[in-house]
Amino acid sequence: MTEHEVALACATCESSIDGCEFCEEPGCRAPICYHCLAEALGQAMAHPHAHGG
Amino acid sequence: MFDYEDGKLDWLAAGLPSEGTNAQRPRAGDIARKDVPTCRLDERLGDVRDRARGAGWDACVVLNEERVVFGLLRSKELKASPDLRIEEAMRPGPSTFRPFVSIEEMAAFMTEHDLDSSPITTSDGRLVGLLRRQDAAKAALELHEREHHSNGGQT
Amino acid sequence: MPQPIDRDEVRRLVDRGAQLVDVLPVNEYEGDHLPGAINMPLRRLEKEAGSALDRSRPVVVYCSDSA
Repeated sequence: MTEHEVALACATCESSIDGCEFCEEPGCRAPICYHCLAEALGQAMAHPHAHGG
Repeated sequence: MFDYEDGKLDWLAAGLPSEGTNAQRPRAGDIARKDVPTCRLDERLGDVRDRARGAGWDACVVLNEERVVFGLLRSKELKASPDLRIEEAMRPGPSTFRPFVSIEEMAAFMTEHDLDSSPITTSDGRLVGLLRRQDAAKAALELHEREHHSNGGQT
Repeated sequence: MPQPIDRDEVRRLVDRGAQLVDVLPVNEYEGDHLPGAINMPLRRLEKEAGSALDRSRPVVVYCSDSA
């Protein structure tokens, strides 16, 4: 990481991120990662599974 | 017997209608403005800006022929040099949100992040509309007041 | 074993009279379900399908990966 790059952390889970997934603004004061955003907005993707019968 | 494996979430993400108690509450796709100006990648920024502002908008969504969202022009992007092609001027690959997301969540996020507008798209990226912060906040407030009053003022 | 189908096929089958069965728990069904779907949680499906469903019409089951 260069001196010009600032480490960002998700305000929810504190994981390291490149930028806010919601607003994509460099100066966001409460950046959020993709996973936490998807959880918050109920946008978790369904994955295939088999039903019985 | 058939199994719709992708299930309810896939159906809702496609912006298709549903029934149930959640369907009575406004969601992002219901409040998003369907009349948002749109443009193509190869258009001239100055022409698009004139068209958008002539329609009373300060934003424009960039689509391909299949109405898939490629980019966004908000106020800042529309102020760039008028001779730029849209592809050069736009904000590419903006964050998009599904039609079924609750309007209260969107209003809260847009306010917290100071975001003026968000494209609402189906799961395959097609534009449903542009959700403006003021519309989201108004709908969320009306919903809160409606539900607050229906509970007899109890929280 | 049920035949997997996609959303477009669901719509085609429903247009032709298919029955939609939501196998999620009742509270999830009450929140959101596909138009016209009935609720039959998985654990009741085998027992009740015979009496609750019209055998002359196709049946489409679905659930969801809720967060």
